[in-house]
Amino acid sequence: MNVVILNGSLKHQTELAPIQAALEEEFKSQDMKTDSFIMNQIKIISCTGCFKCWDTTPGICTGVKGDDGEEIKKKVVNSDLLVFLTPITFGGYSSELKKIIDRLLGTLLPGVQIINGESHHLKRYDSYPSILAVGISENSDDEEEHLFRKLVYRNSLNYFPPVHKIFLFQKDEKVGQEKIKQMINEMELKK
Amino acid sequence: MTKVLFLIGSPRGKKSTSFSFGKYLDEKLLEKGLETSTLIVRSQLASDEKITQMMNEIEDSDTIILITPLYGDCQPYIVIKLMELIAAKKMNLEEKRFLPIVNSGLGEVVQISAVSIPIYHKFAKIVGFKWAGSFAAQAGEMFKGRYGKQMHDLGKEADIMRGILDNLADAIISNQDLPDMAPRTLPGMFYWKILQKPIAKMNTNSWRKVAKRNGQDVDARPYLE
Repeated sequence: MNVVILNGSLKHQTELAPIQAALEEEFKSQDMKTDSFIMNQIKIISCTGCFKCWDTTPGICTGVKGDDGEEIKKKVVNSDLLVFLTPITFGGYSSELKKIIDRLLGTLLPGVQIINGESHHLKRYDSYPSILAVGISENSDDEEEHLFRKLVYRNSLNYFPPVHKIFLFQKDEKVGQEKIKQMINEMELKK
Repeated sequence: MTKVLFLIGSPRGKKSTSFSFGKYLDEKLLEKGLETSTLIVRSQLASDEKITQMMNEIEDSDTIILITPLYGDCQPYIVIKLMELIAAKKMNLEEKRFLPIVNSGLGEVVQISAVSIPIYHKFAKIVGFKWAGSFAAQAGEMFKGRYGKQMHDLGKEADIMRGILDNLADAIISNQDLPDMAPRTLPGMFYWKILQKPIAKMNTNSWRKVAKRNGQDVDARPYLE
Protein backbone atom coordinates (compact mmCIF):
# COMPACT_ATOMS: atom_id res chain seq x y z
CA MET A 1 0.00 0.00 0.00
CA ASN A 2 1.16 3.51 -0.80
CA VAL A 3 0.57 6.43 1.53
CA VAL A 4 1.03 10.14 0.89
CA ILE A 5 1.21 12.50 3.86
CA LEU A 6 0.65 16.20 3.17
CA ASN A 7 1.66 18.24 6.20
CA GLY A 8 0.08 21.71 6.00
CA SER A 9 1.84 23.29 8.99
CA LEU A 10 2.68 26.94 8.65
CA LYS A 11 6.36 27.85 9.06
CA HIS A 12 6.28 28.56 12.79
CA GLN A 13 4.07 25.60 13.72
CA THR A 14 5.56 22.40 15.12
CA GLU A 15 2.55 20.57 16.59
CA LEU A 16 2.03 18.29 13.60
CA ALA A 17 5.64 17.06 13.37
CA PRO A 18 5.30 14.38 16.10
CA ILE A 19 1.99 13.19 14.60
CA GLN A 20 3.62 12.91 11.18
CA ALA A 21 6.54 10.97 12.68
CA ALA A 22 4.21 8.60 14.57
CA LEU A 23 2.13 8.00 11.44
CA GLU A 24 5.27 7.24 9.42
CA GLU A 25 6.42 4.77 12.08
CA GLU A 26 3.06 3.02 12.14
CA PHE A 27 2.80 2.83 8.35
CA LYS A 28 6.32 1.37 8.23
CA SER A 29 5.43 -1.27 10.79
CA GLN A 30 2.46 -2.24 8.60
CA ASP A 31 4.64 -2.46 5.45
CA MET A 32 3.04 0.57 3.90
CA LYS A 33 5.25 2.76 1.71
CA THR A 34 5.01 6.40 2.77
CA ASP A 35 5.90 9.62 0.98
CA SER A 36 5.69 12.65 3.26
CA PHE A 37 5.67 16.27 2.20
CA ILE A 38 5.98 19.22 4.55
CA MET A 39 4.34 21.76 2.33
CA ASN A 40 6.04 24.86 3.75
CA GLN A 41 9.41 23.36 2.79
CA ILE A 42 8.47 22.56 -0.79
CA LYS A 43 8.11 24.87 -3.76
CA ILE A 44 4.51 24.80 -4.91
CA ILE A 45 3.08 27.49 -7.15
CA SER A 46 -0.59 28.00 -6.43
CA CYS A 47 -3.32 27.10 -8.95
CA THR A 48 -3.99 29.94 -11.39
CA GLY A 49 -7.47 28.71 -12.31
CA CYS A 50 -6.47 28.40 -15.99
CA PHE A 51 -8.17 24.98 -16.37
CA LYS A 52 -5.37 23.75 -18.66
CA CYS A 53 -5.40 20.54 -16.58
CA TRP A 54 -8.90 20.01 -17.96
CA ASP A 55 -8.98 21.29 -21.52
CA THR A 56 -5.43 21.64 -22.81
CA THR A 57 -3.31 18.89 -21.20
CA PRO A 58 -5.99 16.80 -19.44
CA GLY A 59 -4.85 15.60 -16.03
CA ILE A 60 -1.58 17.53 -16.17
CA CYS A 61 -1.06 21.05 -14.87
CA THR A 62 0.80 23.08 -17.48
CA GLY A 63 -0.48 26.41 -16.20
CA VAL A 64 2.44 26.70 -13.80
CA LYS A 65 5.95 25.37 -14.23
CA GLY A 66 9.07 24.82 -12.16
CA ASP A 67 7.66 23.42 -8.93
CA ASP A 68 7.00 20.07 -7.25
CA GLY A 69 3.22 20.08 -7.66
CA GLU A 70 3.04 17.50 -10.43
CA GLU A 71 5.43 15.13 -8.65
CA ILE A 72 3.16 15.18 -5.61
CA LYS A 73 0.07 14.74 -7.78
CA LYS A 74 1.67 11.66 -9.38
CA LYS A 75 2.26 10.18 -5.91
CA VAL A 76 -1.36 10.95 -4.92
CA VAL A 77 -2.76 9.34 -8.09
CA ASN A 78 -0.90 6.12 -7.26
CA SER A 79 -1.62 6.11 -3.53
CA ASP A 80 -4.12 4.13 -1.47
CA LEU A 81 -4.25 6.57 1.42
CA LEU A 82 -3.91 10.34 1.45
CA VAL A 83 -3.25 11.97 4.83
CA PHE A 84 -4.02 15.63 5.43
CA LEU A 85 -2.31 17.17 8.45
CA THR A 86 -3.39 20.73 9.13
CA PRO A 87 -3.91 23.35 11.76
CA ILE A 88 -7.65 24.07 11.66
CA THR A 89 -7.85 27.52 10.09
CA PHE A 90 -11.19 29.33 10.57
CA GLY A 91 -12.73 25.85 10.39
CA GLY A 92 -10.87 24.88 7.21
CA TYR A 93 -7.45 23.87 5.93
CA SER A 94 -4.30 25.93 6.31
CA SER A 95 -3.10 27.85 3.27
CA GLU A 96 -0.11 25.50 2.95
CA LEU A 97 -2.33 22.43 2.67
CA LYS A 98 -4.90 24.11 0.43
CA LYS A 99 -2.17 25.17 -1.98
CA ILE A 100 -1.54 21.55 -2.97
CA ILE A 101 -5.19 20.45 -2.72
CA ASP A 102 -6.09 23.11 -5.31
CA ARG A 103 -3.46 21.63 -7.61
CA LEU A 104 -5.17 18.22 -7.48
CA LEU A 105 -8.13 19.49 -9.51
CA GLY A 106 -6.85 17.71 -12.63
CA THR A 107 -7.32 14.31 -10.96
CA LEU A 108 -11.02 14.84 -11.69
CA LEU A 109 -12.72 15.30 -15.04
CA PRO A 110 -14.19 18.70 -15.89
CA GLY A 111 -17.71 17.47 -16.61
CA VAL A 112 -20.30 17.03 -13.91
CA GLN A 113 -22.74 14.35 -12.82
CA ILE A 114 -25.69 14.64 -10.47
CA ILE A 115 -25.31 12.64 -7.26
CA ASN A 116 -28.10 12.93 -4.68
CA GLY A 117 -29.31 16.09 -6.33
CA GLU A 118 -25.90 17.79 -6.37
CA SER A 119 -23.42 18.41 -9.19
CA HIS A 120 -20.07 16.72 -8.70
CA HIS A 121 -17.19 16.33 -11.10
CA LEU A 122 -16.68 13.05 -12.89
CA LYS A 123 -13.94 10.56 -12.06
CA ARG A 124 -10.78 10.64 -14.16
CA TYR A 125 -9.40 7.47 -12.54
CA ASP A 126 -11.10 4.23 -11.55
CA SER A 127 -10.05 4.56 -7.94
CA TYR A 128 -8.96 7.30 -5.56
CA PRO A 129 -7.10 7.16 -2.25
CA SER A 130 -8.90 7.04 1.08
CA ILE A 131 -8.55 10.24 3.10
CA LEU A 132 -7.36 10.51 6.68
CA ALA A 133 -7.68 14.12 7.85
CA VAL A 134 -6.01 15.20 11.07
CA GLY A 135 -6.80 18.69 12.32
CA ILE A 136 -5.14 20.51 15.20
CA SER A 137 -7.38 22.92 17.03
CA GLU A 138 -5.86 25.88 18.81
CA ASN A 139 -8.94 27.11 20.61
CA SER A 140 -11.01 24.01 21.49
CA ASP A 141 -13.64 25.64 19.35
CA ASP A 142 -16.63 23.36 18.67
CA GLU A 143 -17.82 25.52 15.79
CA GLU A 144 -14.46 25.31 14.04
CA GLU A 145 -14.22 21.57 14.61
CA HIS A 146 -17.73 21.02 13.25
CA LEU A 147 -16.88 23.07 10.16
CA PHE A 148 -13.68 21.12 9.62
CA ARG A 149 -15.58 17.83 9.73
CA LYS A 150 -18.09 19.20 7.25
CA LEU A 151 -15.35 20.38 4.88
CA VAL A 152 -13.66 16.97 4.80
CA TYR A 153 -17.06 15.34 4.30
CA ARG A 154 -17.82 17.69 1.39
CA ASN A 155 -14.39 16.91 -0.10
CA SER A 156 -15.17 13.21 0.22
CA LEU A 157 -18.18 13.74 -2.07
CA ASN A 158 -15.93 15.27 -4.70
CA TYR A 159 -12.73 13.20 -4.47
CA PHE A 160 -14.31 9.73 -4.19
CA PRO A 161 -12.24 8.25 -1.33
CA PRO A 162 -13.40 4.71 -0.47
CA VAL A 163 -13.02 5.66 3.20
CA HIS A 164 -12.58 9.01 4.89
CA LYS A 165 -11.96 9.62 8.58
CA ILE A 166 -11.40 12.76 10.58
CA PHE A 167 -9.42 13.04 13.80
CA LEU A 168 -9.13 16.22 15.81
CA PHE A 169 -6.62 17.05 18.51
CA GLN A 170 -6.00 20.05 20.67
CA LYS A 171 -2.80 22.02 20.16
CA ASP A 172 -1.12 20.86 23.37
CA GLU A 173 -2.52 17.34 23.34
CA LYS A 174 -0.03 14.48 23.37
CA VAL A 175 -0.90 11.91 20.72
CA GLY A 176 0.62 8.56 21.59
CA GLN A 177 1.64 5.78 19.23
CA GLU A 178 -1.30 3.66 20.43
CA LYS A 179 -3.75 6.36 19.35
CA ILE A 180 -2.07 6.59 15.95
CA LYS A 181 -2.33 2.84 15.52
CA GLN A 182 -6.01 2.99 16.48
CA MET A 183 -6.62 5.77 13.93
CA ILE A 184 -5.11 3.75 11.12
CA ASN A 185 -6.96 0.61 12.14
CA GLU A 186 -10.22 2.56 12.14
CA MET A 187 -9.63 3.35 8.48
CA GLU A 188 -10.10 -0.39 7.76
CA LEU A 189 -7.95 -0.11 4.66
CA LYS A 190 -8.12 -3.04 2.28
CA LYS A 191 -4.64 -4.40 1.65
CA MET B 1 -17.28 59.54 2.73
CA THR B 2 -17.63 55.75 2.83
CA LYS B 3 -14.67 53.98 1.31
CA VAL B 4 -15.24 50.56 -0.19
CA LEU B 5 -12.46 48.10 -0.97
CA PHE B 6 -13.03 45.28 -3.42
CA LEU B 7 -10.68 42.34 -2.89
CA ILE B 8 -10.79 40.03 -5.89
CA GLY B 9 -9.93 36.58 -4.57
CA SER B 10 -9.95 34.64 -7.81
CA PRO B 11 -6.60 33.23 -8.96
CA ARG B 12 -7.77 34.24 -12.47
CA GLY B 13 -7.60 37.90 -11.51
CA LYS B 14 -9.14 40.21 -14.12
CA LYS B 15 -10.24 37.23 -16.23
CA SER B 16 -12.60 36.00 -13.53
CA THR B 17 -16.27 36.05 -12.68
CA SER B 18 -15.23 37.55 -9.33
CA PHE B 19 -13.66 40.53 -11.10
CA SER B 20 -16.68 40.87 -13.38
CA PHE B 21 -19.01 41.07 -10.34
CA GLY B 22 -16.66 43.53 -8.63
CA LYS B 23 -16.41 45.77 -11.68
CA TYR B 24 -20.19 45.90 -12.04
CA LEU B 25 -20.68 46.78 -8.36
CA ASP B 26 -17.82 49.27 -8.43
CA GLU B 27 -19.43 51.24 -11.26
CA LYS B 28 -22.73 51.38 -9.34
CA LEU B 29 -20.98 52.70 -6.23
CA LEU B 30 -18.94 55.26 -8.16
CA GLU B 31 -22.14 56.58 -9.77
CA LYS B 32 -23.39 57.33 -6.26
CA GLY B 33 -20.19 59.10 -5.28
CA LEU B 34 -18.62 56.46 -3.06
CA GLU B 35 -14.86 56.17 -2.94
CA THR B 36 -13.71 52.73 -4.07
CA SER B 37 -10.59 50.77 -4.82
CA THR B 38 -9.99 47.27 -6.17
CA LEU B 39 -7.10 44.94 -5.46
CA ILE B 40 -6.37 41.58 -7.06
CA VAL B 41 -5.36 39.35 -4.14
CA ARG B 42 -3.08 37.09 -6.20
CA SER B 43 -1.04 40.08 -7.42
CA GLN B 44 -0.91 41.60 -3.94
CA LEU B 45 0.56 38.43 -2.45
CA ALA B 46 3.53 38.65 -4.81
CA SER B 47 5.77 40.69 -2.47
CA ASP B 48 5.99 41.93 1.13
CA GLU B 49 5.59 45.46 -0.18
CA LYS B 50 2.32 44.63 -1.92
CA ILE B 51 1.05 42.72 1.10
CA THR B 52 1.70 45.81 3.25
CA GLN B 53 -0.13 47.93 0.68
CA MET B 54 -3.11 45.55 0.82
CA MET B 55 -3.18 45.63 4.63
CA ASN B 56 -3.01 49.44 4.56
CA GLU B 57 -5.94 49.54 2.12
CA ILE B 58 -7.96 47.32 4.45
CA GLU B 59 -7.15 49.62 7.39
CA ASP B 60 -8.17 52.67 5.34
CA SER B 61 -11.52 51.25 4.17
CA ASP B 62 -14.95 51.21 5.80
CA THR B 63 -16.40 48.28 3.85
CA ILE B 64 -14.43 45.31 2.53
CA ILE B 65 -16.09 43.25 -0.21
CA LEU B 66 -14.21 40.00 -0.79
CA ILE B 67 -15.28 38.33 -4.04
CA THR B 68 -14.04 34.79 -4.52
CA PRO B 69 -14.67 31.57 -6.38
CA LEU B 70 -15.30 28.24 -4.67
CA TYR B 71 -12.33 25.88 -4.97
CA GLY B 72 -12.76 22.38 -3.61
CA ASP B 73 -15.72 23.26 -1.35
CA CYS B 74 -14.00 26.22 0.28
CA GLN B 75 -11.71 29.19 -0.28
CA PRO B 76 -8.87 29.01 -2.82
CA TYR B 77 -5.31 29.06 -1.44
CA ILE B 78 -4.75 32.78 -2.05
CA VAL B 79 -7.83 33.70 0.00
CA ILE B 80 -6.87 31.47 2.95
CA LYS B 81 -3.42 33.07 2.81
CA LEU B 82 -5.03 36.52 2.88
CA MET B 83 -7.20 35.55 5.86
CA GLU B 84 -4.16 34.18 7.73
CA LEU B 85 -2.27 37.42 7.06
CA ILE B 86 -5.15 39.59 8.28
CA ALA B 87 -5.49 37.48 11.44
CA ALA B 88 -1.74 37.63 12.11
CA LYS B 89 -1.66 41.42 11.72
CA LYS B 90 -4.15 41.83 14.60
CA MET B 91 -5.59 45.07 13.18
CA ASN B 92 -8.47 46.86 14.80
CA LEU B 93 -11.26 45.96 12.35
CA GLU B 94 -14.28 46.39 14.59
CA GLU B 95 -15.95 49.21 12.70
CA LYS B 96 -15.24 47.75 9.29
CA ARG B 97 -18.03 46.01 7.42
CA PHE B 98 -17.19 42.74 5.70
CA LEU B 99 -19.24 41.27 2.89
CA PRO B 100 -18.06 38.13 1.08
CA ILE B 101 -19.46 37.15 -2.31
CA VAL B 102 -18.76 33.56 -3.35
CA ASN B 103 -19.41 32.23 -6.82
CA SER B 104 -19.37 28.61 -7.85
CA GLY B 105 -19.53 27.13 -11.32
CA LEU B 106 -21.84 24.48 -9.89
CA GLY B 107 -25.55 25.11 -9.72
CA GLU B 108 -26.49 24.30 -6.13
CA VAL B 109 -26.32 26.83 -3.33
CA VAL B 110 -25.35 24.15 -0.81
CA GLN B 111 -21.95 23.86 -2.48
CA ILE B 112 -21.25 27.41 -1.24
CA SER B 113 -23.37 27.65 1.87
CA ALA B 114 -22.23 24.39 3.51
CA VAL B 115 -18.66 25.41 4.29
CA SER B 116 -17.36 28.49 2.50
CA ILE B 117 -19.80 31.05 3.95
CA PRO B 118 -19.49 29.61 7.50
CA ILE B 119 -15.69 29.85 7.18
CA TYR B 120 -16.05 33.54 6.32
CA HIS B 121 -18.35 33.98 9.33
CA LYS B 122 -15.74 32.36 11.57
CA PHE B 123 -12.96 34.45 10.06
CA ALA B 124 -14.92 37.70 10.52
CA LYS B 125 -15.68 36.83 14.12
CA ILE B 126 -12.04 35.99 14.92
CA VAL B 127 -10.47 39.07 13.31
CA GLY B 128 -13.25 41.44 14.43
CA PHE B 129 -14.91 42.44 11.17
CA LYS B 130 -18.56 43.53 11.36
CA TRP B 131 -20.58 41.06 9.29
CA ALA B 132 -22.56 42.91 6.61
CA GLY B 133 -24.09 39.88 4.87
CA SER B 134 -23.01 37.55 2.11
CA PHE B 135 -24.04 36.47 -1.36
CA ALA B 136 -23.72 32.88 -2.59
CA ALA B 137 -23.84 33.04 -6.38
CA GLN B 138 -24.44 29.68 -7.98
CA ALA B 139 -23.66 28.94 -11.65
CA GLY B 140 -21.15 31.81 -11.58
CA GLU B 141 -19.31 30.63 -14.65
CA MET B 142 -22.29 31.55 -16.80
CA PHE B 143 -21.68 35.18 -15.93
CA LYS B 144 -18.16 35.37 -17.26
CA GLY B 145 -15.89 32.47 -16.45
CA ARG B 146 -14.21 31.22 -19.58
CA TYR B 147 -16.40 33.20 -21.92
CA GLY B 148 -14.70 36.52 -21.40
CA LYS B 149 -17.71 38.81 -21.18
CA GLN B 150 -18.31 41.41 -18.49
CA MET B 151 -21.70 41.68 -16.79
CA HIS B 152 -22.71 44.61 -19.00
CA ASP B 153 -21.98 42.68 -22.19
CA LEU B 154 -24.12 39.71 -21.30
CA GLY B 155 -27.67 39.37 -22.56
CA LYS B 156 -30.94 38.52 -20.91
CA GLU B 157 -29.46 35.46 -19.23
CA ALA B 158 -27.74 37.84 -16.80
CA ASP B 159 -30.79 39.99 -15.99
CA ILE B 160 -31.46 38.22 -12.68
CA MET B 161 -27.81 38.44 -11.63
CA ARG B 162 -27.60 42.13 -12.56
CA GLY B 163 -30.76 42.74 -10.52
CA ILE B 164 -29.24 41.01 -7.49
CA LEU B 165 -26.02 43.03 -7.83
CA ASP B 166 -28.05 46.26 -8.21
CA ASN B 167 -29.83 45.52 -4.92
CA LEU B 168 -26.55 44.65 -3.30
CA ALA B 169 -25.04 47.94 -4.47
CA ASP B 170 -28.03 49.84 -3.04
CA ALA B 171 -27.52 48.13 0.33
CA ILE B 172 -23.81 48.98 0.34
CA ILE B 173 -24.53 52.61 -0.56
CA SER B 174 -27.02 52.95 2.30
CA ASN B 175 -24.78 51.07 4.78
CA GLN B 176 -27.54 48.53 5.20
CA ASP B 177 -26.69 45.06 6.46
CA LEU B 178 -27.90 42.10 4.42
CA PRO B 179 -28.78 38.53 5.31
CA ASP B 180 -26.75 35.65 3.92
CA MET B 181 -28.33 35.69 0.48
CA ALA B 182 -28.57 32.83 -1.97
CA PRO B 183 -31.19 33.92 -4.48
CA ARG B 184 -31.76 32.06 -7.72
CA THR B 185 -29.42 33.37 -10.39
CA LEU B 186 -30.65 31.40 -13.36
CA PRO B 187 -33.27 32.70 -15.76
CA GLY B 188 -36.09 30.75 -17.34
CA MET B 189 -39.46 29.38 -16.42
CA PHE B 190 -38.12 26.10 -15.07
CA TYR B 191 -36.77 25.62 -11.62
CA TRP B 192 -33.27 24.29 -11.06
CA LYS B 193 -34.58 20.78 -10.42
CA ILE B 194 -35.68 20.58 -14.03
CA LEU B 195 -32.73 22.40 -15.52
CA GLN B 196 -30.09 20.65 -13.43
CA LYS B 197 -29.48 17.56 -15.56
CA PRO B 198 -29.55 19.23 -19.01
CA ILE B 199 -27.16 21.94 -17.76
CA ALA B 200 -24.83 19.29 -16.29
CA LYS B 201 -24.81 17.53 -19.68
CA MET B 202 -24.19 20.78 -21.56
CA ASN B 203 -21.35 21.60 -19.20
CA THR B 204 -19.71 18.20 -19.72
CA ASN B 205 -20.08 18.41 -23.49
CA SER B 206 -18.62 21.91 -23.66
CA TRP B 207 -15.43 20.78 -21.88
CA ARG B 208 -15.16 17.79 -24.19
CA LYS B 209 -15.43 20.05 -27.22
CA VAL B 210 -12.73 22.41 -25.99
CA ALA B 211 -10.33 19.52 -25.22
CA LYS B 212 -11.02 17.97 -28.62
CA ARG B 213 -10.36 21.31 -30.31
CA ASN B 214 -7.01 21.32 -28.50
CA GLY B 215 -6.30 17.86 -29.92
CA GLN B 216 -6.64 16.23 -26.51
CA ASP B 217 -8.53 13.36 -24.96
CA VAL B 218 -10.36 14.85 -22.01
CA ASP B 219 -10.46 11.38 -20.36
CA ALA B 220 -6.66 10.92 -20.37
CA ARG B 221 -5.22 9.23 -17.28
CA PRO B 222 -1.70 10.53 -16.89
CA TYR B 223 0.63 9.46 -14.08
CA LEU B 224 -1.08 6.12 -13.50
CA GLU B 225 1.50 3.37 -12.81
